[in-house]
Amino acid sequence: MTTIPSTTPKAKPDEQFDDLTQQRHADLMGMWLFLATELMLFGGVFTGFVVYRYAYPEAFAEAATHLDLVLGMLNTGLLVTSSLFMALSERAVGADRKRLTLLFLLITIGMGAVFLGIKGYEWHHEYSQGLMPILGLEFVYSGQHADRAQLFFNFYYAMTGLHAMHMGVGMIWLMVMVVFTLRWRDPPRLRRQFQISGLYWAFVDVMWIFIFTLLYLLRASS
Amino acid sequence: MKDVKAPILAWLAYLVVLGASITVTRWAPGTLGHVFNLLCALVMASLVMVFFMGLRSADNLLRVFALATLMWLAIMLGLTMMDYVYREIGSSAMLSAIA
Amino acid sequence: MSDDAASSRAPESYLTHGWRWRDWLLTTDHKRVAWLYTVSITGFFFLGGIAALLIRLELMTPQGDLVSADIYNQLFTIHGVVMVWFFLIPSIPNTLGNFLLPLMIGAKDLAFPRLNLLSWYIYTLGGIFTMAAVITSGVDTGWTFYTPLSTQFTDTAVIAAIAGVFVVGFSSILTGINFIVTTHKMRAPGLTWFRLPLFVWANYATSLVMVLATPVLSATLLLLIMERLLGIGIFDPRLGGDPILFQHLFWFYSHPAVYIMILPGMGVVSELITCFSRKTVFGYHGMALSILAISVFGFLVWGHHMFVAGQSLYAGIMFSLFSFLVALPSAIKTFNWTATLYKGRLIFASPMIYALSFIGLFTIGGFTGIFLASLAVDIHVHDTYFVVAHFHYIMVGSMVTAYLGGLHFWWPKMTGRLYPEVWAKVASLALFIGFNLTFFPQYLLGYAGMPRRYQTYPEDFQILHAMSSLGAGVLAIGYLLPLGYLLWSLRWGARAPADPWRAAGLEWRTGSPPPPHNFLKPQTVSGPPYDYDTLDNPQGEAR
Repeated sequence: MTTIPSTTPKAKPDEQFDDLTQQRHADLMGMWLFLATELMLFGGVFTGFVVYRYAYPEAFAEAATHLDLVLGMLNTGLLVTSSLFMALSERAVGADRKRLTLLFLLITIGMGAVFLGIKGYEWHHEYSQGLMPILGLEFVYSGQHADRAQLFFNFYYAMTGLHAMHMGVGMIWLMVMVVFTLRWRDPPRLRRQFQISGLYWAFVDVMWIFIFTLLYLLRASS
Repeated sequence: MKDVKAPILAWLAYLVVLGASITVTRWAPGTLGHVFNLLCALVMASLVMVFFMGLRSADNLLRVFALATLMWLAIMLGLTMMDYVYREIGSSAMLSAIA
Repeated sequence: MSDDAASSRAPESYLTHGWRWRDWLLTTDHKRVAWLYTVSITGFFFLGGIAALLIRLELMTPQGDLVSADIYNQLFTIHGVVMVWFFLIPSIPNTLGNFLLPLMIGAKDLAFPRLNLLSWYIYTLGGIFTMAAVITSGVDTGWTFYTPLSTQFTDTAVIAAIAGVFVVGFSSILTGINFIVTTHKMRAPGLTWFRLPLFVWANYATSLVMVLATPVLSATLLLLIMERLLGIGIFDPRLGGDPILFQHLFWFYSHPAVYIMILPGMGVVSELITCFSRKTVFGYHGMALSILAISVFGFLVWGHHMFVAGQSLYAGIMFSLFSFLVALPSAIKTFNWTATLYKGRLIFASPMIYALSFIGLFTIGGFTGIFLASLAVDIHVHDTYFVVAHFHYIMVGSMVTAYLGGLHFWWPKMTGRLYPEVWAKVASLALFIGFNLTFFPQYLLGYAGMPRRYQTYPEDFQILHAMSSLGAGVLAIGYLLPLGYLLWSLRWGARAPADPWRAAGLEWRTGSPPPPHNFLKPQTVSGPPYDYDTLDNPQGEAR
């Protein structure tokens, strides 16, 4: 929670709590519950995908071969590396190392930006191949089952779009954390905030793992 | 800074599993390969959750919540699929009905 | 609310604590946020009520003469959307729950007070936006937004309406998170899980459902928006998509949402019955666990909305069986309430009349639910007024009755004023009579074959429809009366003592209205809830 950082030397909990431990536990639990809701949000979309993947196995496996496996792999590696740096920045803030924290945080944000850049490039590439049936654009597909393949690509854009939106939110969030790190007031609060932000960032990574596996990896031999 | 070894090792393990998953999908796709891909995804997700999200040191209640959410996801997926395994969709009859 | 009069009476309360605009609109006090919610949901309730009244007026005659068919479709859409998302879902949790949860567990506030205020803003602004969209463009899909009607055929502002409902969903989610964390982390020392009031259990279970189900609605509506706005066909049969998948995802939320609506009502009624029977609640553990059981089983039954929609027969059988299961914990609760009444020293105060109405109406609504859960019977009554009557018995007969009962019971605590009891008795009886007159004929209509969402009907049905419309008039009196005398009591009602009902529970151990941080000193709990024997006989003499 973002309030006016306390400037008192002795850190105090918010008024509704008895002590800092209670507040830390409450914050953590609140965040995990929020992530549970995020999981159910993605879960609804995943359920839809699984239904169609089960109903149209050949069409979906073939459509998947039209995605760029190398770029997908690169992005997966990038995202997990950014998660690593996020986890390291949490440790750095725990050790009161301000400059190191800032460095790790900026690397995390930078990798997130590169991820989105690559994703955008991929989308553009698919657009130029006629594989973007959005807003009435024509869907040009060489393989069999063009209609089912369009269903696959609809899910591709829905899932990667939803994920990219979460990445964007995460990056704005981390930029706010950059400001908090620069100010460096009330270290216990800062540690709590880092823990919460790290949870969100890693969660977005976990969702990507499943999006990547479902869309890119469950493919036919090309 | 303490405890930096574990996340770095987890990161390395993640990359190895990712590599294995991609190798399999590249050279041996098919049902078995897909099962392997999904297992890899589970391992990768667990690595992130345990080492980057602190599930290892979290109190039991949070673990219960995490498990419960996974169970609810399974309920949604499982009961929905109960319908689709006994029913064919996308048949031509359905299409002609709306045409 | 009379500011000057209240402050003349010494101890400072949350109501005397500042009356500038920002003292209310930027408050983080859960008690004030509860009031913000109360004002909002009352507004939405009467808006939805006006739509219902127009529907009932139209149905006085077999022909469509009051409004056009299009307007009729829009009216039942407004009624459904408003009543489900902007009244029933937030009703008890966000008003009484918001006010009472921290008080009942002896906490100073919810775990995340600012989040609580945020959730009110999301709810109110989202609600107003949705209403503007629905009323100006006349959305005609019904509250269920079924595809492909909502994606391909209707030409109304479905996107705006859905976007509004999507946004309001976050209000539910945030409230749910807040309540769960509060219940886990903020209980007073000694207040163990099995010493919690059942109202807290009910709100906890409700919050679990909100947290686990609402995001799926968000996902579904998001896919719907994408399909309609971007042309990304997810449920589009032309691409091999399956419109029934929309129903699966929609009901995965919307059936558990029924339990979001009813569980808090069960919590309220448990408090009322035990207080006005002057007895501890019968089978406390069974009551608490059956609340949890209902919230879990509620997730396994959504397919009973789709028996005739084309889902596979085996899925239908499974969903039918699971639906019967929900009857078990519901029956446990009903029997336990009855057993609590048995040999109690009953006091027929107005909240008790509401609570007894609840038991009767819930039983009828629950029984007819079993009819509907049976595959074969459902084919006969699906999408008829039988279904309409069934869910109104649960949602209006039970839930609104419980809400009003709770509002009366805790009104002295919330405002520091007593309401006129005679008028309250009249209102509670008007509600019971008007409700049954409105909705019992609908069971008969539905069984005889009157489909829902139709503006016209054969002349044979007119007597029953007219009875129903007449009942709606009586019901309206049952709603308007409390609005009148409760508002009246704010200024002219007698001062309430801290514990006007001699009730158990921490919320009565502080002033009426409570001070800003709820209790003047930290509370501890050393005994079970609802200890009315000790409360009524402090010396421990035999009854």
